[in-house]
Amino acid sequence: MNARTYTSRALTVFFLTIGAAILLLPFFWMVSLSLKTPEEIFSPELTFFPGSFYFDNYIKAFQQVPLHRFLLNGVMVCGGILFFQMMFAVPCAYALAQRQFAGRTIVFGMVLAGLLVPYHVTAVPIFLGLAQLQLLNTYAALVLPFVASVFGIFLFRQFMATLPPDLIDAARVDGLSEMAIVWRIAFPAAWPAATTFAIFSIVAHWNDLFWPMIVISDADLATPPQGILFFRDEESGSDVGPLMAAATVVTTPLVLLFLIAQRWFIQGVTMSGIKG
Amino acid sequence: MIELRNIKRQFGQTTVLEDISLTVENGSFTTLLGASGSGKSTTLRIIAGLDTPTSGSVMINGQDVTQAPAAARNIAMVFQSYALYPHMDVRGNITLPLAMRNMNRLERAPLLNKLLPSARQKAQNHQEQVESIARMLEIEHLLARKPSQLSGGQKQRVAMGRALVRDPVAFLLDEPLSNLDAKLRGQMRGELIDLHKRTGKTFIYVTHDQAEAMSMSDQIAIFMHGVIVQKGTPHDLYERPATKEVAAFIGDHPINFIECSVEGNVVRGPLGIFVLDEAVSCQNVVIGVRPEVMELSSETAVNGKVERVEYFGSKATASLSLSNGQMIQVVLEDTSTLPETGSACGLSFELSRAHVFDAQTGLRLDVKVAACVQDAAAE
Amino acid sequence: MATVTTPMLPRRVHNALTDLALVGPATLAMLCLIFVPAVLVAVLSFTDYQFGAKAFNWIGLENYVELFTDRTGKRAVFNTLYYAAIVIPCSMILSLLVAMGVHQVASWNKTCANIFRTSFFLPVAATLVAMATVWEMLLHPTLGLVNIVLDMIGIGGERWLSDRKLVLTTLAAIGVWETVGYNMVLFLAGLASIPRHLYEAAEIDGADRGWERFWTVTWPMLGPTTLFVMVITATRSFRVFETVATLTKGGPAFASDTLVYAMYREGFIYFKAGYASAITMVFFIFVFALTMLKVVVAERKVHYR
Ligand SMILES: Nc1ncnc2c1ncn2[C@@H]1O[C@H](COP(=O)(O)OP(=O)(O)OP(=O)(O)O)[C@@H](O)[C@H]1O
Ligand SMILES: [Mg+2]
Repeated sequence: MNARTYTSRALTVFFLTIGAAILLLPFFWMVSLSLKTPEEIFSPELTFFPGSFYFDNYIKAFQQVPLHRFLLNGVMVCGGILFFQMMFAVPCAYALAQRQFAGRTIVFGMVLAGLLVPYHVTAVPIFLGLAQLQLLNTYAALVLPFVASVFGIFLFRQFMATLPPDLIDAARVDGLSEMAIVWRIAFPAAWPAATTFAIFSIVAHWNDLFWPMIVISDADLATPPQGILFFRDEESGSDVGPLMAAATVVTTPLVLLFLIAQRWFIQGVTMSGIKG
Repeated sequence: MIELRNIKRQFGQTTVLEDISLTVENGSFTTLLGASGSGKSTTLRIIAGLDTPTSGSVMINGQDVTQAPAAARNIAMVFQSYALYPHMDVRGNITLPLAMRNMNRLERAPLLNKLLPSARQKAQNHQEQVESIARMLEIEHLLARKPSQLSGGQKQRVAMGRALVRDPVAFLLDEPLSNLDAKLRGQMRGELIDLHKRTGKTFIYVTHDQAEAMSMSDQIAIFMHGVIVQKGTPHDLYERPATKEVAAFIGDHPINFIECSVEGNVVRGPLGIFVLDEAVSCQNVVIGVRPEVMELSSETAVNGKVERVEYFGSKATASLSLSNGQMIQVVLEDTSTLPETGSACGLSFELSRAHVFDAQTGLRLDVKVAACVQDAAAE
Repeated sequence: MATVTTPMLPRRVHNALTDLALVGPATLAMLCLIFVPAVLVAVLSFTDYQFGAKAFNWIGLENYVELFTDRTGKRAVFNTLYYAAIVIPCSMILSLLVAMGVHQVASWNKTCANIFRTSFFLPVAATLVAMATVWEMLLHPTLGLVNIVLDMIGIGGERWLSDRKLVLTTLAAIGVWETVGYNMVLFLAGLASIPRHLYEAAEIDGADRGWERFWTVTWPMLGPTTLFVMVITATRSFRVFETVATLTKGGPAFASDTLVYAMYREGFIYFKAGYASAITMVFFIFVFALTMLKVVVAERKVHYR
């Protein structure tokens, strides 16, 4: 290795490290603040690391607001959305990929057109509809608007279109009904698509603030990001430690999920490019 | 008994199958033979219920099942690509058709099946059946593997196992050996014959390899351009081909066609003048002579020149050119003395085993070559 | 021999019913949740409908006129464009640099490259609202780390989130922070798809300096990816909401009001459904135009030289 490559490598690593440090700073600061005592936080002196691990902030966070409730809501809502999205998208994608039927181009055209519509666009009429149905401030209001995932249909269709037709025919001969083929053959065979889609969906809905703010005002039904806002507005900025503890608690599940399933995350981004 | 009655299949404007009628006896081994694109797979798919004919009907054991979907027909099929379920291990692949046939919805449900006694009992039975099939096909050691971890031959066996494990009306096999190498193909061919004997089931086999068809079948249906041109036993097809094309398709060595003119029952051609046992009405005939019924002979007059000799050990073939430039192939059973390339030779053939076809229509003429009155060189 | 069960329905009817069962629910859901609402938004945008009101009037383009003449309306449009105008180039340039760096590191040390990739991607997975509260701490005028550090260097700190001139830029900076990792992943995929032999060819042609190789090979080959990343970044920045709602609520004095936040405020706080619909339509037209731009450019195959 000559000197030039060596310097260029060293420089690359140097700059990347600085960049990464800046990007990760908020994470570090969040955890650091969440472990500091109020005195440390409000002292004018700059300390990067907490003097001791002060876990009271976490205890306070759970006591002052129903943080566990927010987390549970998040799990329920994300789980519910994902479940229904799959129930709707997978059979439809299978039919689009492997069956010939009248109107196939129309349905697929709808999917492609639907990809162009950000969900903010439909907010006003859907809110009106939910209000009509007296569904505001319910789990249904959080889940229902998202059950038709065109991105999900698109992703599954692309994947299922690569399954050999013989495979589907083999299943038919083996006595599987079309619905059984969907769930026993096509869906498991499209497992990578399912994983990618699940991650995409969970990340989007766990982190979403826009829709919960529109349909939920009841703190008992708040999703984690909304919970953080409730917390912050309630404490008017004086209780930094617990707030940071809450932020850490809310962020941790997805960060963990990301670290475990990094490959699928990245694939999800590359594929979700189409959705934006 | 499986019966196809006047099946027609069109894709848009193109007719892929035309007036296909075929009867498959229970327990028989029937082969659909034909070149690529002749409609064999389409026929098989119609029998399986994967495709619906445009008109005509499919009968299974006297029942019209034309409208029944594949899942309702209890027919097993082995695909050319094997079509193993990629996400299941070998055991799962073989068990699935059993579970689908024998268990009800509740018993198949993912978690419930662990609790229901009936489901557990059935699952137990299934495992025993799967294992006995695996033993028979010698794939026991592969049961825990995924299809992606199998070789072509192993996949083939698993696909067979998946078909064999239940008790279907018939086995449909769509070119199951074509993805295997020559040696394995020969071995599997033998095993398939054994399997057919042992199970006594109806086999419907699709291939474009006439040797495979000839060696395995009770009945062969020859497909050409979407019609069955002839059906019969291998012996029938070999000895009494219905058309020139069939004659050309069947047989290890390509048949020799000799164009001749006819007057009444007298035939003139490059090999000499022959007499037919009956007069025919057409003007030209084609006499088909298989290389294996021809001989180089020193008794007849010289009428060919040896262009090429190929030696295979147990036999040899010689290609001769006639005076009109046509090439004729001859199989030499006796390989102790081979003719020299370039030497001149006489040719003769077993007259009774020559086939006569109408030169215009290509159809078989029901006449025999009775005698040779003069050979070519004497003209 | 097992018997064959005969179906009650002819094959065609049975197939049609199956297709309906497979496709019907999703199609119905798409209609009810996407297409009908999208049409309704367009219709509502020409009315003065208020949530809960018994009746409404057709007021033509008045909502749109208000949006583009009224001070707050104009602000929201302008702010959104301003925000995007910062985030798009900054995020793209930074993420391209990072992606090239990580790509280079990957060529000699995979683990190291993966660590970098993970670090840069982390903000994408994190809950933006939670992270926004952290930024609020970091940017606090007196206690925030940013100002303390700036003080130490000798540059006076700023009131990042309450200064009308600064607030939008601050939000844009957070936007860049949030999107760099996302774009990096897209660029990495683009870089990975550039065939090696092109670099070797460039080297033979004398373009052996890193900079020259970038201009002769990397940049032209990244054309489609760049366009793609640009459209995605633009759509994402037009949608900015979480940081605004958490940190500024559009303030101070509408200095950080954006389209989606304005839509939220007008529609769901002031319940002016008609006006909110008009804002929605403008937002939608922006996003739609961008996507069309991508389609048109991709169709013409301008890229790949
Ligand atoms: N779904 C379809 N649409 C249109 N044409 C089709 C379709 N399926 C088959 N064909 C046509 O029908 C003809 C017969 O096809 P088939 O698959 O039955 O042939 P095959 O005898 O099995 O050939 P091979 O030996 O290559 O498998 C072909 O010309 C094919 O192009
Ligand atoms: Mg075929």
